[in-house]
Amino acid sequence: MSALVPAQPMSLVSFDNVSVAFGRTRVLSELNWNWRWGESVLVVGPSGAGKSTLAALATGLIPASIEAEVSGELDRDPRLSRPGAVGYVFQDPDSQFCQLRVGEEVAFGLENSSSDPAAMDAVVVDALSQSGIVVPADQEHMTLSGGNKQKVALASALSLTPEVMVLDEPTANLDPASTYQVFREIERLVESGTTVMVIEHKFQDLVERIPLMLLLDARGRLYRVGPSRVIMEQERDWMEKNGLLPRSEGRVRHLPMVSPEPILSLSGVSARYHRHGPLSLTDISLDIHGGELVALVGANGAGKSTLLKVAAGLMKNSGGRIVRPAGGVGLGFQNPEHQFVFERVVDELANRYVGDAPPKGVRQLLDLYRLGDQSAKSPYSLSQGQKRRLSVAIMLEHDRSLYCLDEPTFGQDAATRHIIMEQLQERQTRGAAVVVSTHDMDLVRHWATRVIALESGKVVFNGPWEELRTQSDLLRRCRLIDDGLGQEPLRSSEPYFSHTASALRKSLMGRLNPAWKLVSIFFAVGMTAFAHHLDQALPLAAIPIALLLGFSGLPVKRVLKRLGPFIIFFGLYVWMMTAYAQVGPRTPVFHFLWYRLSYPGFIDGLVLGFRMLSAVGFGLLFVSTVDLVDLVKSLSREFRIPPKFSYGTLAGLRFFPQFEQEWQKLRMARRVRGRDVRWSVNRVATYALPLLSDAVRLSERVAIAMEARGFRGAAAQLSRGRTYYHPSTAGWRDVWFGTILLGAAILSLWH
Amino acid sequence: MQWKMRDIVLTAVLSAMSGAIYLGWDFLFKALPPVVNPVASAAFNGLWWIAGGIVPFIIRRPGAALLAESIGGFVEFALGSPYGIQAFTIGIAQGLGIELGFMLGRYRRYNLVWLMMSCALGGIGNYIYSYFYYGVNLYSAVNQTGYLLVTMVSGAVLAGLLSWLVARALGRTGVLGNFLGGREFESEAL
Repeated sequence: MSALVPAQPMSLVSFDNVSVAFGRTRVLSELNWNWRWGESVLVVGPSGAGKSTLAALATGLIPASIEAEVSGELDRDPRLSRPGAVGYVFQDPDSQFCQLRVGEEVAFGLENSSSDPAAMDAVVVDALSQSGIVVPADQEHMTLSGGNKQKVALASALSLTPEVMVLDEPTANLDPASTYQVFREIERLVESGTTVMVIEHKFQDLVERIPLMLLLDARGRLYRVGPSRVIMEQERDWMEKNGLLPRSEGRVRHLPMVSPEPILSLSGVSARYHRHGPLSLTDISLDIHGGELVALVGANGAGKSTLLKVAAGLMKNSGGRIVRPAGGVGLGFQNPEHQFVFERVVDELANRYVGDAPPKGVRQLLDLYRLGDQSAKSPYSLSQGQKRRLSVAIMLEHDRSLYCLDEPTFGQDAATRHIIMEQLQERQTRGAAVVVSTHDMDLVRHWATRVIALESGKVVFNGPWEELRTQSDLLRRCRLIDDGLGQEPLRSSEPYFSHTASALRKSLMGRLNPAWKLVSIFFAVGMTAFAHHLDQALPLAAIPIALLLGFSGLPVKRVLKRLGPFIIFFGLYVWMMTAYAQVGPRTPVFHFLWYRLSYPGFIDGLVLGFRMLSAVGFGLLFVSTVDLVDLVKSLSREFRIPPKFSYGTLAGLRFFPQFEQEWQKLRMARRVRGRDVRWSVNRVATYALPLLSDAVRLSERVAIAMEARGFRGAAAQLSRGRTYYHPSTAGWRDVWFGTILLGAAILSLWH
Repeated sequence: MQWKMRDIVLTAVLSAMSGAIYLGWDFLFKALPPVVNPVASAAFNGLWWIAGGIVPFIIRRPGAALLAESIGGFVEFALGSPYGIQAFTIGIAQGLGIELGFMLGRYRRYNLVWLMMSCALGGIGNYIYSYFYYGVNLYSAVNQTGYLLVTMVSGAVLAGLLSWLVARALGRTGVLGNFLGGREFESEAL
């Protein structure tokens, strides 16, 4: 234990008989513990033991950002309340970000502690390299892989040189190689003298790296705390009993009869998501036989999920031939909620509304999947493990000859994993085939009869695990072991928000301050209401078009393409007015069906059409020459909007592309599950429920993460209570633009 | 009455989703019905301010309807609405109308009836804006009155009632426990 830093005697936080409850649910019970400075600790316990709660309580996130009923005596070192004293890294890399690009993200904490903007760039670069990632500051972090995202999150925390670092399941979403890299960073932190608290399901690899270990039991009580190695040796039984370690008794792997004829057969299959997009799968040929349990492995983005979707027939292949089983394919989605269509657990299992007396079969299922006391609850209110078990139960209740599951053991403790794998094996022994995609090498070792490894949409290995494990080059390429080569490629998807190319940004329109530009354009569009004649409306429409073509840096072709759909609407306005404008009694009117068409109405329609063209042109001018982050921040800087509203809105809008993808997945899942549920008025309200409940939880997590990064008090309430990473661009140029624009609009209306 | 951080983020998330729905609605329901009759087309208007119904109903903070509709309208506009920047400005008008309703209830009344009434007031905001910017002022008095009334009813149903149904379904799942508007449905027997 050479890494052990000499323990400082000072107490960091002391708990004296502390209990925590959220509403009626008690999470931590009668905790007595004294955490000292320099004591890095590994927190271990079954799901729902209150590990995250302990971390939040120790660092003051409870009660500052999370409401809970706390009883007992709690004494926290006042040094912890310095902004930036505590660095936090959460499980889901996406829900702890609130900006769009790497540089802004790391600088967010610096802004909160009112650091000097001129010095920020140097700190940002330094923090990123400390976390083991080299990345341009203006790259959108959305385009990064999960492992790289987590490194950016780590850098964001490190930029403030925290004395205490909390990592709450930092590797849950990562592949094995990225996991090892994060573990190495944790080791470095501990060695550098930072006091670290790590919550981790895969804790075995951390025992050597973190000197102290704390065990919480299922009821939220402190079971034991002490040196990690000693606890690891002495408490193995307890850990197995609580589902923290897989049971060690040699599991006999059944090798059921494998059917001679394949159940699923792919030959030369390729697939892509968009018609002109890149191939996600290339020339895949493989057979799956009954009685097999096949593990599909490979790095994130290698095509595992795509292959499952294609195999299940949810996605069309663009080439090749697929022979699917006659009995249909069951597909289990990565997000268990996507599979829920009822409002109670018991109805989900019965696949219909069963009232208060569930049939015997359903009661057996409840017991089998350990959901007995949850039967009347909403599936969405279950814990992660319960949700996963329920979704697998739902999927397995239909008799199929092939089951495909996307990461069924993701984020689960050993107990839930065991239940799921046993059930899958049971189907396997009855002659069905099971294909699971996974990052979980234990699962591969213990349960899989065959492994298929994918790399960039191609099959690079197809055979038994015993053979794959000896090929270290292949393992590295599929990110199944630490590749030792440092970081993953920097781009795994296209940027979404940064469409503002440098040509646009350097144009006259692009250099204007976003907030003042919005105001100028707002008033200009407002004035279109006063245009009543063609010779007023035409020049009003010409102004934004001229600005677009001359001063926006936007190519003419793109302007025309973006304005194209408007032509239909232009026609619509003309028609509406021609048919419905009220005209004088002597005006000639042409009767057609029930319409009364008139010439003055036609002219009114043209006026309205050009007024609308003006608004659309101004809109395009604004949206294509402005950056979302700049806009949001300038609203706070110029108009004193409290940062909590501007930054909070940005944090929410950031998720838009993610929800777009989720929506696609949900529709797919609904196609599978939804067809056996009758449509009703209520279904309109519940169709998107998985997406909405996800949105709510995400919002809460983001809000907590933002506050954990120092976004509170003056930094959140007052526009002057913080500094801003980007320099302000407001100046005389904006005044001139506003004056000339409104002058031109008034001139157009003059006659 | 203080806004919490999670209230703001949720407002942005739900409003952005609504903005995407608005954009779809732009193309779906503005292309055909108006050709038949402006009053008939008004029946579809209400969905354009559903963010102003569901957001304040869940988070229950002053200004929620206005903020939600501003963001929703902005997203609709930024995604390429054929209404251009007017998608954003009319959103503000609709939001102000709904906000008036909740303000009259002193930000204490949040039941189905009050929600539907507020969303009907959002229809007045829509009407006033359309009067000046979408040529509604040129219609005959009968058509104008019909347009206003049908718009208000549409707001009450498509923005108000639908918001309530969605909020209730969401509240029953238990995820809204930390939001003022979610708790009442949580205990509701299923």
